[in-house]
Amino acid sequence: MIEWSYAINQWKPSFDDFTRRRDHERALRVISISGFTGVELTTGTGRWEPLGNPEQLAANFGSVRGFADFVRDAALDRVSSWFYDPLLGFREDLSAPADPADPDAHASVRAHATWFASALADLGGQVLVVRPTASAWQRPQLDDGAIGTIAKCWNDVGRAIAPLGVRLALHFDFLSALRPDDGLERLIAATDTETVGFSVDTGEFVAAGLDPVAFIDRHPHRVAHVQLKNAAAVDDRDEYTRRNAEHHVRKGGGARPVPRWFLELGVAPGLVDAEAVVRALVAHEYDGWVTVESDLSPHPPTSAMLNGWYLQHVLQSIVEEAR
Amino acid sequence: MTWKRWSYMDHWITRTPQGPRQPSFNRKHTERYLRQLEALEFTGFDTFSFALPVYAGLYGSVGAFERVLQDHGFAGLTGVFSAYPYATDFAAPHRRETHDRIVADFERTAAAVEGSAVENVIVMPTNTYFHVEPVTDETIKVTAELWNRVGALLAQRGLALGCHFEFWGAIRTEEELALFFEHTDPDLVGFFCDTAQHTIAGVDPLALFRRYRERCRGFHFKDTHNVDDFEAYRTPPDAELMATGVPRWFYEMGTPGGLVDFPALMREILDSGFDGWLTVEHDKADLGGGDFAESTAVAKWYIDNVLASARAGAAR
Amino acid sequence: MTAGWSYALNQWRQSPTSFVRLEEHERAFKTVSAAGFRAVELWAGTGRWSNLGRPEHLRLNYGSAAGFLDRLAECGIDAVSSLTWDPSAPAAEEGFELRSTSRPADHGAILRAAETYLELLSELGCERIVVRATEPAGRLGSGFDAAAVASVLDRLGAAAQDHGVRVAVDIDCLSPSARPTASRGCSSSPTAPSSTCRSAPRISSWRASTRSRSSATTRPASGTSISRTPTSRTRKRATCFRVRKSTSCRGTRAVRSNAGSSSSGATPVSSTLPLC
Repeated sequence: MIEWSYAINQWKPSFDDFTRRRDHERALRVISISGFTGVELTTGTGRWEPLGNPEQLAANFGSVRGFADFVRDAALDRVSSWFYDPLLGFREDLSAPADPADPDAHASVRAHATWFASALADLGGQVLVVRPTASAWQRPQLDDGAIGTIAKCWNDVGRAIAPLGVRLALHFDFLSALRPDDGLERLIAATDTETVGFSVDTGEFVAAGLDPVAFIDRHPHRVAHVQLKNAAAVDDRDEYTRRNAEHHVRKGGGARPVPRWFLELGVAPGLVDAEAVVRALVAHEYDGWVTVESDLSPHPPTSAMLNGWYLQHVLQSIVEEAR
Repeated sequence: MTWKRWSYMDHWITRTPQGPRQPSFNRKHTERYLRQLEALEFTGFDTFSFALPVYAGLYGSVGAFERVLQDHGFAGLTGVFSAYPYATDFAAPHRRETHDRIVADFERTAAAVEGSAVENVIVMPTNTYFHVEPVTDETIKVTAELWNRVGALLAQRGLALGCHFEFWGAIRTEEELALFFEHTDPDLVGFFCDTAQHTIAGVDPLALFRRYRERCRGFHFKDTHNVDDFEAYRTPPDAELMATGVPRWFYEMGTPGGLVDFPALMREILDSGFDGWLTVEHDKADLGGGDFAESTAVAKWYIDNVLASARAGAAR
Repeated sequence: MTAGWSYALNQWRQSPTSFVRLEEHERAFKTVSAAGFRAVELWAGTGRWSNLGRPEHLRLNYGSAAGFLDRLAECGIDAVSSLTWDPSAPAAEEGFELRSTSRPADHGAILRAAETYLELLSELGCERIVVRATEPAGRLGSGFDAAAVASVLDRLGAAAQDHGVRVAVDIDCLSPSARPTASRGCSSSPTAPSSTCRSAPRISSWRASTRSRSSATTRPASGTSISRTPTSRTRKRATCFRVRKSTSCRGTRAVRSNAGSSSSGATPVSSTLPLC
């Protein structure tokens, strides 16, 4: 069965925004009334990231379970998932960024992943979504040895969190070091089919020139999570290799520039066929969360409602027809 | 029973490439606006009389715009709001010499919505208080004369007149309201209850609804955090946006500090048998960094998650 | 009057309820001043929330025209350079009538409405009222009457001169007038159908009407020119044309206009005319 959640990340425009509880409450209510039943969190660190990690949840809501109550008070069922990027360090334990391509960082990655997975279990969540490796400009060459090192890191994490009832989903993005030389497929082949799944982020796939539907058809049993968002453009100029692409390309729009890489579902000039994605999921009897995302939205409440409209009027009927 | 007749009053500012604008900025923004309201499951749409030509211009006619609304799950245009906030030589309800002109305005409004789903024509019955002062029994009776005429005109066209009183208008106290209703025909001149406006004026909207239930045509559900205890209502140039110390009077349902008891009102509505539209209004929600889209979403959340359960306490 | 730079305040009005409170005005005035401008341009409007756009509301909010000038001075603004006014825009204070400069029957009402503004501008020491020549082509249909427009603008110019104010005629990209090449640009404009532009009377005929009208009267104030920078000759006239560069049309092209040169002897000036 498909369950629908919404990613909270669009509500954080700057490091010191979206910190007060009133803001969180209103965002969760917007998600709920727009037709979603779960919320996806994103990792963060420090006092102005109250939803960023288990320690901050406890500091702000009394405990992780206190936050679960807060979510339910907003008429949402649960936290669906948590996005964890190991290349961010944590002020809470003064840990440095941990690169899965570096064997010395594996213990840190596993420890932090377990930290999040444990909290997720308390929140009723089911998927730990992770960024599997650095950006392409940071690691331009991922040879088979490097892929093997990365795979080992996530195989270990997958085994560690499976007993918690939390699935691991590796999230590919259009700036990823996995993009050149078929890195994504090589990583799929190198990882444990039982404990390491993948997240299909439709907007990121299309921006990278990949077809999310083909991926789902090719690896239906490895799809552990879906992030559904629209894409406005394809990076067909290999701008992802540009130094500091996160700033110059993802936010700055690159040379063209692209005003917004990602759009709400079903709007022109979007390139993602969300209906085809959901049909493919249904066809393969996907059982899990689909998180609708609108990161870098200029207007989060409107994006949530427009995506809610598309869910209610287009996508939901595809799922219901299949029942 | 889940209340099905929730309408939305057409205040909304959206973000466009040319800054914050009304959604009628263009068709694309109107479409985004209507989709958001549809996602929240509003089924009625109230607008202003001055917006009718705007929508007609955008879609070809008022009827064509109503069909667009219906494509988005609305029953259609359900209410039209008209007002004369300042007294002019052309429109001052407490001055008889302007009545013919005002009646003519409503002839045009009625013609503009002919054949539509509009049920209510909602009016501010008076100008701003300081343009009418001194407010006397006579000014109220003259005002009542006007709305009896307009009510009769609208009734002939199948429309109901609802009088919507402002905290800064020249009929605002319980006594003034009573005198006005005493001199108007209950079959022609209805009461339209704006929960925030009456609360700011120091009048309990729930008590008003109980008193004028039989002539109540509808509601604007909105909240306030302040009562006007410093005579803002009579202070030029404008009490709504220019009051000293209160930059924002109106809030959506469900904010901390809200003064209106919506669950109690909802129970009363259910008990009363009222079957009209309940309208959500967000008047100036953008003040102080507010946001119409977010305010509308959290208000509808409040309806579905708080008022829905409040129904259980109703007698019927 | 010496040439100077002014900033239009209309950009601050983004919604019907914005830019109403006096503290918002103050911030705008200070911003304009800090940006190096010493004068502001007002724009006409209607209703209580157009409190810089209606004379009675401006006085009510600032006590008087002098009170408004004092507030400007406190914020580092020396003058009100001008006020823009569209006679075809309905105003509650004037009975919400849809008036047209092309309709002679409306001219009396237009002149009466202008008087309210001219009195205020005189009190403000403002020397220029910028008048939209006509309503948009789409509203006018085939009703455009260049001679009628010229007539009322001439009369406005004369009335303004009585108050020490000059009229600048504002032609924008929705105006019914267009040069013969207009259809090229209009074909891609969603707001001005190409057929409207093609069939619209031309600005040259309009200018001719204005000149003809002025020469037929003994009023010395009348005359037309297209100019952004008044010459010594055009400065003497009560009416001149201001041609706005279009922001919504796809293209503009520079033209050299001879307007005003034949009868008035004004020096031809370059300007930029929108293609629609």
